[in-house]
Amino acid sequence: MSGVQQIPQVPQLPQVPQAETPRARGPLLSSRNVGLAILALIVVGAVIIPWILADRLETRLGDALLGPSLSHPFGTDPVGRDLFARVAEAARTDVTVAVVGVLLSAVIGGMIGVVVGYSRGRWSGLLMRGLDAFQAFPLLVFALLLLAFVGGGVSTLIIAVGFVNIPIFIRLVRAETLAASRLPYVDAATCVGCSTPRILWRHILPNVLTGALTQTTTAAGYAIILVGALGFLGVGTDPGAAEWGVMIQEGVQYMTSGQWWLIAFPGVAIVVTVVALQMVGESVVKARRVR
Amino acid sequence: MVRYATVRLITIVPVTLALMILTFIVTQLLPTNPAVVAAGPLATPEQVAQMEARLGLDKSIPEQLVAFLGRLFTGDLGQSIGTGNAVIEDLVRRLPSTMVLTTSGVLVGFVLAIGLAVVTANRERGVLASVGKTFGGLGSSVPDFVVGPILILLFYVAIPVFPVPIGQGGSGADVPAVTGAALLDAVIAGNGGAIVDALTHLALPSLTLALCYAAPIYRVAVSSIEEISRRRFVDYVILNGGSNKLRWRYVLENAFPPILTMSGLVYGLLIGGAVVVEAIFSWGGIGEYAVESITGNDFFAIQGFVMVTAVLSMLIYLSVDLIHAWLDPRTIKRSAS
Repeated sequence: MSGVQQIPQVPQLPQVPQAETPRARGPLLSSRNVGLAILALIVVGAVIIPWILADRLETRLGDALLGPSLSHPFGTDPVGRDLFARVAEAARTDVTVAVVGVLLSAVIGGMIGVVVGYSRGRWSGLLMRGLDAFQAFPLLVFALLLLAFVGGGVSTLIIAVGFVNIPIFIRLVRAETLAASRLPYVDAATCVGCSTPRILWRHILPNVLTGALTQTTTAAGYAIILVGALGFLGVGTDPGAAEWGVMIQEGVQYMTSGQWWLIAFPGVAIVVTVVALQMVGESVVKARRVR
Repeated sequence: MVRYATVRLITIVPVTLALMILTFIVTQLLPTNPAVVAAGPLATPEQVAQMEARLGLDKSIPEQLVAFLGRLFTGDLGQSIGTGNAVIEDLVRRLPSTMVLTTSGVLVGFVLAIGLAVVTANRERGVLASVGKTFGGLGSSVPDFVVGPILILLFYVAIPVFPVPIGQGGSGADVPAVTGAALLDAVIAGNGGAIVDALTHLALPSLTLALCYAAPIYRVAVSSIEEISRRRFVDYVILNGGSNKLRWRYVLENAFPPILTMSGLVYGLLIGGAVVVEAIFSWGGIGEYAVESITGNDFFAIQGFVMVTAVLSMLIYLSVDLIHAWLDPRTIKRSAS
């Protein structure tokens, strides 16, 4: 599913924990985790490259629209900035917004989900129907609406990304909590008189965490696409800001005269980041399965 | 079946009502004052107060809700400040274009997904298996605002197969604008040249939609086909010496309902979500209208767009459920119990 929409998926139920084998944790942090390696490279690049190549981020109209070459591996943009440095600079905005926004929604949605799932109150059904209605609606339009009335900027963008993802986390964590609260040791904890916060913290939360972590990486991938789409449509960040979607939008104007690199490299950056995040998510699932 | 359909149709009434009330509540929570928007940026406080009185914003909130619902039932969604027309008129004029685009996109994606699923299902290795895996995985990661421009680069700039990727084409002096969608107008006028022109303009945007949104359909199709192929009755067909064709008929007939449901889900989301593709190709549907009204802070237009797309998506989900129940009557029993 591409673009910006996230099709609601049937939440996976957590597997019944089995006796731990000696190789308890999977290769989550091993050198063979390609996704994590790519992601680390992107983050390091986003921090270092615009700093090293700061002079190449200045407008130099004489160098405008040069094709990819050895001195400018990604070519230059319409005002002569080095596209490689620009793509790296944009990674700061995109990755920060996506990761912070999704973490925000994971924490808020996760807390609501645990409480709703554990209490099984009369209102939880109503809440879930309300979430159904929200999720039947494209994330992009939802985010557009929020930005329209609250105004653009990076912090609003983070809030928008966080807000549209909350229902997904509530749903997932609630389902996992429902399953986890039926486990015998939860009954046992209740019998020995553990307080509800203690049960939630010590016995439910660890079970819920892996599922939520997987969803966090997936959602961060979609958030990258969402932020790009918002930038492409001209809302969210300021025009001319270093943001992959904004850069593609600018590149579209030069497309018919053959300057393909303006679109291709920001596009590749988005795809590589999203795929890396998905691979990390898969490695979390695998690590859980090894257990 | 009839009873099931009636029940499902009746449940749509409270859901629609809830949706409208939800929209009302959300607009109440927003910091924007519609009277200020409607009166324009140069209005004096007295003019804003007048507009508030005209829009009924000076009444209590329950009274406003009743008035709001009453206006909706007469089809009054307010007036757009961007175009100056009634919002409902704008939406109705642009809706056919969006419907043509999303419907063709979903159809192409559906065919693509099922075709690919049939040749790649039950394959562990080989070229086809990796093609399927790549599409199923990467299809989720490549956004439409990248695929669209790349398709334009390939099929308009590099190899000029398709016409200028702006607008819908098709319409001319001899094709009267009946629906507003070039393809439908050309078909109504029976103008062969215009139909071909409209189709060539439709090709790239609908291919973009298909490539970007078919991946979930493909994944469901593969898992459904693989699951059904392992059932006993398929072995039975093989043991009875049934032809390959017969076996595939059995598999596909039984694998079909979940694929249909996922396609419906994608279709419903695209009604409001083809915004980006419409913007790339200057399609002129409701998606472009939504972006224009959002950037122009056009309060009633946005509200109208949200409500119309939500109701349409709901109708699509409903009809998919009904077709699903008709194809597989077991679902009716399951939902009753």
